[in-house]
Amino acid sequence: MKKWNLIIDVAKCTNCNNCFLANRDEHVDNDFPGYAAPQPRQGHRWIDILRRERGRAPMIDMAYLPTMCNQCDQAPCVKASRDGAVYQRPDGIVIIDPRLAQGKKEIVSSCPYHAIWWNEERSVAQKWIFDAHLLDQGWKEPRCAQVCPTGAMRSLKAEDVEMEQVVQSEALEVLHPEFGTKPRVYYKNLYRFMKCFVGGSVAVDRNGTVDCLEGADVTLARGGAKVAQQRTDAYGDFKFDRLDQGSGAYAVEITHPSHGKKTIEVQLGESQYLGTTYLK
Amino acid sequence: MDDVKDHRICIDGYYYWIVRISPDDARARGIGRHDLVKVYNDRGAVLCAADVTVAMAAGVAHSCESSASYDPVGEPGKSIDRGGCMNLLTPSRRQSTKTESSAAMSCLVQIEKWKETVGAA
Repeated sequence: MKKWNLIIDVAKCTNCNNCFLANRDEHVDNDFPGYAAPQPRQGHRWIDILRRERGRAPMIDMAYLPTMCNQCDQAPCVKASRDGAVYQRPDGIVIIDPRLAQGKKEIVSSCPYHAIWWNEERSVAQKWIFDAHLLDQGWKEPRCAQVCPTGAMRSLKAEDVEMEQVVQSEALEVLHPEFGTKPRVYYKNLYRFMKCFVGGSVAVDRNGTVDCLEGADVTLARGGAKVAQQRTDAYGDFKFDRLDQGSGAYAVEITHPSHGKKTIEVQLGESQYLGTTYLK
Repeated sequence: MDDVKDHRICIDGYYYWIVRISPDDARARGIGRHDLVKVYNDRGAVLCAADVTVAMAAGVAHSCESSASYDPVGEPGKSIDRGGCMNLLTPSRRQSTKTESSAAMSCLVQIEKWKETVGAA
């Protein structure tokens, strides 16, 4: 049977919060028996947008990561719940039964992604339900995907085999695959949030006038082996992305046929902007 | 709407407007992320939640001038606002006579950590 999946492109999310607000609009003060009890007015983020800032001025980028219930195929919440209070439907959507989950706070702590929220007033565990109540009425996609103005979110109802092909062809990833829960929420360009970069600018001093040096050859090496190579752009900038956080010592070698060569040693913790390097 | 993270931040039960400052300025003033701060100049003072971000250059603070809320903690007009009414801080000069458009797009302010208690809403 075809199952629902959500694909989020981190590079396209601009933090507009339409998905967050659509979810609030759908659930705050609204009861959907069998699907979800009303969301409280404050404190819950069934869709939670996280921010990551990388680098320092002038080389900074921001990434926003919308997170929500991953609708896991091996969901710890399903395992933790008693009496079938949490179950996965044949279409892949995980539902916390608002009636059966009454008083079962352990469901909240079972989620390694912290995507389940406790409703103090109603004494029930709650989370994003992929808008199952709407899909069951014939909706073609959940509200978060419908309202996303940049197309950063899209839903896909597909056989698992089809989905595997999409994951391969679009290089999709899931959050924390090491949890082993098999999420159905996939991310594209996740490196924008998870990985680091080493960047810098190259310039030459021409008798007191500083010029950006375009076309300098920049090589990133680690332990003597070349990792990547780039040419500086019109602003003399280079940026090696998708490096692992805290991955240690790198060497950045900058060469230009008529301006010589310089090597910078880098110890990579978080993303780093190396500033301006002057060639002769 | 108040729960949008870049809109307001809830501190001790009250939703405060956000002012963005650079890590350097925050460090110099002992301000941490989402600390309550007083943004002020000779025209007035507004209590805000601080968002410390590398997107701001040192010496520059940013806040949106659209909170549409004025909530003085004492006598109106003579006390600090905590509704986030940032246009208390900008000049009231207009672009020309007979227009309502503000002439200024920026103003000088100082920011300091707010240590007093104001309480919930």
